[in-house]
Order: sequence, then C-alpha cells, then structure tokens
Amino acid sequence: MTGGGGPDLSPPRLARALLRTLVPLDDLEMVEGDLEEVYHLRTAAGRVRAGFWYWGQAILFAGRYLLERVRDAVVAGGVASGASSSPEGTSPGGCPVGSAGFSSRTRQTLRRLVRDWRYSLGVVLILALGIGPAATMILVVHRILLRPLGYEEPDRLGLVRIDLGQLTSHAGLAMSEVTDLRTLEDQFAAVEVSGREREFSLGTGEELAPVTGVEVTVGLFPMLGVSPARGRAFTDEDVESRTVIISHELWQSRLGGDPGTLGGTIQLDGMNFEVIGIMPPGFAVQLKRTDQLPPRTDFWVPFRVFEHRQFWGFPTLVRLANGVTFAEANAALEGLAASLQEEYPEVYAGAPLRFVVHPLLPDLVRQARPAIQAALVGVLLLLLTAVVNATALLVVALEKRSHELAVRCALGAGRRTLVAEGLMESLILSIWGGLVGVGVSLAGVWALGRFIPRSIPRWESVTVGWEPVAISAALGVVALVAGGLMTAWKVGRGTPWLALVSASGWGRTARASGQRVLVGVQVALAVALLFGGTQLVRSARSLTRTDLNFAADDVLTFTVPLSHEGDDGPPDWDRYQRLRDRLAQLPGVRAVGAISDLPLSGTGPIDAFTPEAGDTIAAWDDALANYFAVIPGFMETVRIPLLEGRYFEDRDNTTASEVIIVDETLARMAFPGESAVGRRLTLGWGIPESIIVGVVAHARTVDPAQEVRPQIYVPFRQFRWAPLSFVVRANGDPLALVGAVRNAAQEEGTGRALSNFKLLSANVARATSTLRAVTILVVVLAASAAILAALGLYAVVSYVILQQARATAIRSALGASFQRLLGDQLWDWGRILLPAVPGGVALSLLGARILQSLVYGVGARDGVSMAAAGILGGVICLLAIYLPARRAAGADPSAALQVE
Amino acid sequence: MATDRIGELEHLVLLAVLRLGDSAYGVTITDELSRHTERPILRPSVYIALRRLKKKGLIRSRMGDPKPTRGGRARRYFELQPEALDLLRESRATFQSLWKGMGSQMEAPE
Repeated sequence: MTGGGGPDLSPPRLARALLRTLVPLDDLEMVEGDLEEVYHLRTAAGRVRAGFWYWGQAILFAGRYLLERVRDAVVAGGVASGASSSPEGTSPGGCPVGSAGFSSRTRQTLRRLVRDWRYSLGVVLILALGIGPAATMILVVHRILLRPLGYEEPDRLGLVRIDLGQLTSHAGLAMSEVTDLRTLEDQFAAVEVSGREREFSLGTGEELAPVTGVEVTVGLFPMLGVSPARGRAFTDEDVESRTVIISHELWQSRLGGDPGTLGGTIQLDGMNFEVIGIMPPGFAVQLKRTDQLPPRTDFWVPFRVFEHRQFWGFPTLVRLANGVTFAEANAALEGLAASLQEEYPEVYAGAPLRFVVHPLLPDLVRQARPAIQAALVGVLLLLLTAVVNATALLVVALEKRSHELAVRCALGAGRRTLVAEGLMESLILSIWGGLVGVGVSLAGVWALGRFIPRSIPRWESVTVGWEPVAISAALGVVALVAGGLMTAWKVGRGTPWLALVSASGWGRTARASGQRVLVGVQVALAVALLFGGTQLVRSARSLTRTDLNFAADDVLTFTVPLSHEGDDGPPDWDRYQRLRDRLAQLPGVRAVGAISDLPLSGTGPIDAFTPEAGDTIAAWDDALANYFAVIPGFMETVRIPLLEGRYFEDRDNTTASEVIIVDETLARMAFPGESAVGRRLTLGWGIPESIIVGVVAHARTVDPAQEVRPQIYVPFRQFRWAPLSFVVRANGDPLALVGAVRNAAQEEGTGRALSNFKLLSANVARATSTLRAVTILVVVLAASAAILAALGLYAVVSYVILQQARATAIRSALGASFQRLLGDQLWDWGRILLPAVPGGVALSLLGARILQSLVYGVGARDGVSMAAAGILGGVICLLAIYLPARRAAGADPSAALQVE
Repeated sequence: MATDRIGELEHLVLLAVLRLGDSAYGVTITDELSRHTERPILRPSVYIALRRLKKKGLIRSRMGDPKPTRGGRARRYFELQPEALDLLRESRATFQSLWKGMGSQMEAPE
C-alpha cells in the first residue's frame, strides 16, 4: 500500500482497525505513525514476528487508552460530586475517592495483575476464548439469517416450490404454470421468473471472457423494487430486440467502468447486445434453486413467458398482494393445483400436484439455519462457560488473598474499598479479555470468509466490520458485570476477619459443591461437543473414501458454448465431436469426452421416462430421471463402470440413432430381475423412443452422499442440450494442457470462449465443502470447550486443594504416602466425571438430530464417536485434576504448615 | 513540592524530552527511557504520560514532515514549556539537598 510496486509492508489491517476504534483521534495519527515506524524497522527481523509485535502493541495501546477514558470519566464525575457534597475529597467512610483514590487503586491493581501475570493471562484468555467465537457467530447469524434482503418490502416476496411426483419442493415451475399463477391476481401483485444461469462468452476474437447470464421476465426488477443505477429497466419491446442489463461488477471489472458502456453494445456468444442498464453494486437475485449456489450473475436478458407444460426449470418469484398472507396465498394455490390436475390429466395424472409459496429469506437460508443456530447455541454455551470459569478464577485469586484482605480490613480498610478493588480487578481483566476477544472475533470472521467456501447463501456478506468489535465489547461488559458482581458479592458477604480465624484453625473442609456442579456441567458440554466433532471428522473421512463410481483425478474440464455457422447461422451441432477428435490427438491426453452437466455441478434436466408397453412401474413417483447429453468417450474418460452391454460409439451420435445408456438404478427399477439391454424406453425432452445398449453403474454426479434419481445418457445429436462441458483425462498435470487445448479449439474454429477451466476434482471438493466447513467449526468449538472445561476444573481443584493444604500437610506429616494422598485427590475429583461424562453422552444423543443431515457413513448415534468423545473428555479432565493434585500431594508439609 | 503535580513516569518523560531536545517524539522518548531505566517501559504508558503532561500545560507539540516509513504520517515532536523547566529545576534542587552527605551510606556493599 505504501511501497508502490514493492511488497506490501503495511502493518496488520485488523490490528490497525483495533487502534482506530479505541485511540482518541487527537493521538491516533501520532500513535499509528510511531508504531508503523518501529514496525518497519522490525520487519527486517521477519514480517511474522513484526506482525505479532504490532498486534501486541495494538492490544496494549487500545487497552491503555480505554482505561484512560474510563479514568477521565470517573475523575470528571468524582470532581463534580466531590465539589457538591464532600469538599475534603473523602467519602463519609474515610475511603479516599476521586482521582487520587481511583488512580492509585488502578495502579495497585495493575501492578498486582502484572506480578501475577500467569493468572491475569489465564483470565484474559478464557474470556477471549468465550467472547471471540460468540461475537463471530452473532455476526454470522445477523448477516445471514436476520438482515433483510436488499429489496423493497422483502417480507412480501416469496419463491414458489412445486411437489409433483419425484419433484419435491422443487424451485422451478413449467412456463404455463407461471401463466396460471398470474391469474390469481387477488393473491399476487406480481409473478415473475428468474431463469437458469448460463455461461456465455463476452467479447470478440482473442479477448473472450466467460460470463454468466440469466433470463428474466420484464417485471422482475420492478417487482423486487430495484431499478438500474444507470440506464433504464426492461420494457416489453426489449424482448424482441437484443438488450441486456449488466451488473455493476461486470461493468467495473471486464468493461473497465467505461461510461460509454451504457447505450453501447457488447458481444455475447458472438451476438451484439445493447446495454440499456447497469444494476447497483452488489445486486443479485437471491434464491435457492438447487443445493448448490449459483455463480454470480454478470448480466440479465429479458424473455417472455410462453406456453409449455413439460419442463419444470423456471424459478418463479411472487410478491403477495396487499393484505394477503402466505397462508392465504398457499390456500389459493391448493385450489389452483386441483383444477390443473383436472384440466391436464396427461401431465399431472398419477401424482399429487402441490404449489407452495415460501417467504424468500427463510427459504434461502432454510438449509443453513439449523447448523448456524446450533453453532450459535454452542458458542453461547462456550461464552457462559468462559464467564463462569473466569469468575471462578477471580474468586480463587481473592481467596488466596483473603489473609491479606483480612489484615487490611483489621487495619481499617472499609469493605467498600475491598469491593472496589475487586471490581477494579474484574474491570481491567474484562477490558483486556474484551480486547483480545475483539482480535479473536475479527480473526474468526476473516478466517470464516477465507477458509470456508461459499457454500451457504449470503456467505459473502460475512465480512469484517464494526459489529464484531461492538458485539465483543458488549459481551465484555456482560463478563464484567457477571465477574464483578460475583467478586463483589464474595468480598462484600465475607467477613474478612473470619479468614484470619479460620486460617489459624486446622483447615477448612471446603467442598465447593456449587462449583463442582458447574464444572460437571462443563465437562458434559465438552463431551457432547467432542462427540459432534468426532462424528463429523469420521463423516468427512468416510465421504472422501466413498466410491463415487467415477474417477475425478487427473481430469481437466471446461465449457464450450454451442457454435453457429457464421454470425447468426444455424447451430453447428457436429463441432463438439470434431473438437473431441482434435483434442484426443494432443500429446498428454489419454481420453476425451463431453457432457451437458459436469459431475457435481448441479442437477441438470429432469423428466419422466416410461418403459415399453407391458412393463409397469409401481408408482409414478419413481419414473423421473436425470438426463445427460453426451459425446461418446465421456464415460470412458471419467471411468463410469460398464455393467452390461456397451458404451456409446461414434456411430450412435447421429440424428438417426435411437440408443441410450441407463444406470443400474433405472435398470433395476424398470426391469427388475431381467437384463435391460435391448429393452426400449419412452423418453422425455422430445427424444424418440430408444433402445438401451448399455447399463452403467450409478455415478454419484448429483449428490456425493446418496443416490438421487435414475440416470439416462443420450447421444448429443439426439438430445441437444448445450453448452457441453468437456472432460479431458491427462497423463500428467491436467492444467498443463490448458494452453494446448485453447490453441486446438482456436484452430478448430469454435469461435467462442472456452471457459471455466478447472479440475473435475475441484467439483468433488466443493460438493463436500459444507461438511468440511462445519467439521472445522465444530472441531474448533469442541477443542475450545474442552480447554475451557479443563481450565475450569483446574481452577476449582487448585482452589479447594489450596484450602485443604493444611489438612494435607498434616496427613503427610503423620505418614500418609504420596501415592495415598494423590489417589485420594484423584478419587475425590474424579467422581465429578462419573455423572458428567455419561451426562455428556446423553446430551450428544439429544443433539445428534442437529447434525443428522450432515453425518455420512456413520450412524447418527455413532458408538465409536461416543466412546471416543467420552474417553477424550475423561482423559483431558483427569489431567486437569492430576496436575494440581500431584503438586499438593508432593508439597513439603513443613512449608505448608509454616505459610500461616 | 511542585512535582506533586506529576507522577513518577511523567517526571521521567519530562527528563527524556529535555535530554532529546529537538528529536523528542514518541519513539525516541520510549527508547531513551528504556535505555535509562532498569524496569521495562510499556510504550502505551509513555503516550498516556505525554497526553497528561500536555493537558497539564507542561509540554507542547509541533508536527514534522510526513515520512513514507510512517505510512505518510508526520512525527509529532514534543518540547518543554517554561513551567516544566521550573518544575524540573525545583525537583533537582530538592533531591540534591536531600542527598547531600548521604553518598557513602548508599555505596553498594562490597
């Protein structure tokens, strides 16, 4: 940022943001400048170390300036009240107040905290571990689940889903159904369509770039209440001419923000389109069409609803009429479905038809919601644990000082002074905890955006902003109030002289039963989270080991748009096969083929099929299949196993051939117990009745975790579903072929952009990314919970052992062996685990439902995960007990007795 | 005593500014203090001390030229106000008078 073309040497951005939040403006430039100057000097010894140094300084500065602000405020308040009521500057109880009292108290407390730095660091880290993740997750919930969509009255917008046989809750209607919906004028103010995304090539000649376009009905943007930032919206006349509205992002990136773009033309797939509008920045039509997120839309073209009742591929959005509720609209849709079934028995017979309109935002985030909510509950429990543990540590520290406090009390220090000191300590520690928590949450938000792929709707809106800082600060105050009240209560309630008396007695029989229960609950929670983590890790492993029935490694893929002869000539259907032949001759290429929808890139076209007369399928429900158009060579390239018959040959790819290949699922379903090869099927999509020439294994190309529907492969010349995506199996590194592939395509004269060069294995990785993302989250949460539980246990055990030090010393002096003392302690505390660990296991059983949709290949109540979680939790906790217990048992009895 | 108005660290910061003369700004002041004191100096405390001293009218500041190694920001140099000099003189006199004749008692034991 500073060094022109050189490497970026500016300090960590987040740390700078922290400084800007808390250092007052009049000092900010000096502090930032001075720190940056030293940072630059330190980068000579390594950037990472300099970065850590800068972070440390930022946190120190932020904390120090925050304290200074508090002090200024208190001094101002103290001066004001002192002037009116107590001119001497002392309170009626004789405690100094005002600036001298406050700053000396602050100094004393700070000094003590620095001296006891292990304790201070412990409390600060515990608080940060609780506050950071909670702030991050609250931000995620706000940005994804709660923040309204950026449309006019977004609450009245809905997405229509259809149930029809195997189409369940499918977000796509047939064109004629859109027309039918529009007749319900008293229910819907508008019914508009945002079509399927398609790849185009933008530009001409060498300068081709892949872009994504969507066909929309003219009324879509007005219905959403969004108009282009520049230019105008679509009108009915635009459907006839080639007009386009582009996204702000396309305008800025590919078109260089040129003001002449508006009103000019751009070339899409070789055709000229007039740019009539540019949408505002960040605009997108957000709806969840399939399980996968659509790519960002670069442009929109208008289209008109036509009469067609066969293809359910048009996502339809509605705006409810004024005063109409979703329930009323759905009731009206029920009536519509009933009348349609009567009117078009040939389309809807045999399967119940149902339309349901869902509110747009809840529909968009429906799948993500349970996981996000579960994560929120998890982090809030973590926060609770952290606050409880931090308070426990504060109280332990106070107990350790009870002797000193008692002496000071005897010397005349008022209880108020002692309470104020306790409060000051929790104030300072909470401020630090909050600040480190801000760092943790900012880092968390950053890591979420960077490491977790965009597999959840609106995920891109999870960005660093002021909210995590504000939320962390608020949570810090919560921690402060909780910790401060607890300490104040503890000190205020205790009669400190009792500490003197009891200290001189024969030790107390402290059982700390309340804290035992708390620690037990924490252990149970940690075990439950560990269970979730183990289960997800096992699922992720199991999913990567699943046989998908196709081999994605070493395969390069790219999309080739359909070519036309000349600028506006008829499509050149045979060019795909010619390109395949050309690519097959390239050195380093083992096999080539092409398909309409790449494995794990979405569902693709779906339609019905009917076996030849005489064969009947039990229920209509089962008679839908995924259709794929292929160029021969596809199955060999991605290695889908052939079970019976043969693969496609080039002679099959003609208009005259009437052959298909089906998967084992279809063969089993349509021809149970018989060979499917040689049998005939009546097909959808206007494909003629065809003979099955081969049966292949069911390749998990739609969902890696389960078989979805039967699959039918049709030669491209019979089923012209363009554009096709090529698959090229390479001998070595597939990406090394990109240049040669481009040249070959250029020579073949496809005249269009090859786009989307990527590895097929990337699709597999993306399809499993949600599971991996959630796995990482839960594992991090579980680890934090285990650490917190262990720390909590450690604190409480240390506390009680400290109180029992005299009794232990006396037992030791009377001859009890080290093993005996240690064994007693372990048994005494290990007993907490006896109910806690099974409790955690029970809790995991209850929570298993939340993760059910994500768990794969292991049972929802997986015994191995449960045992692993129980053992892991138990071992960690035993260790937390063992360390202080061993120290106590091994202590020198004479030293322990002398302390008092 | 006049030094009642300021704390120990503020006193030290005033001395550092005096020693550094024209080149007294945050970084050099912190370095100077670290060189002369045994205990670690926390950088933020120095800045807070400077802030308080300024508020008390004991020092004033002026801006230097912007520097690229500071992300284009200018240094803020500090100098003592006459009151600060008086205060330092007075404290030195107090210390000197109190120390007079005590040298041999404070020698480190052999």
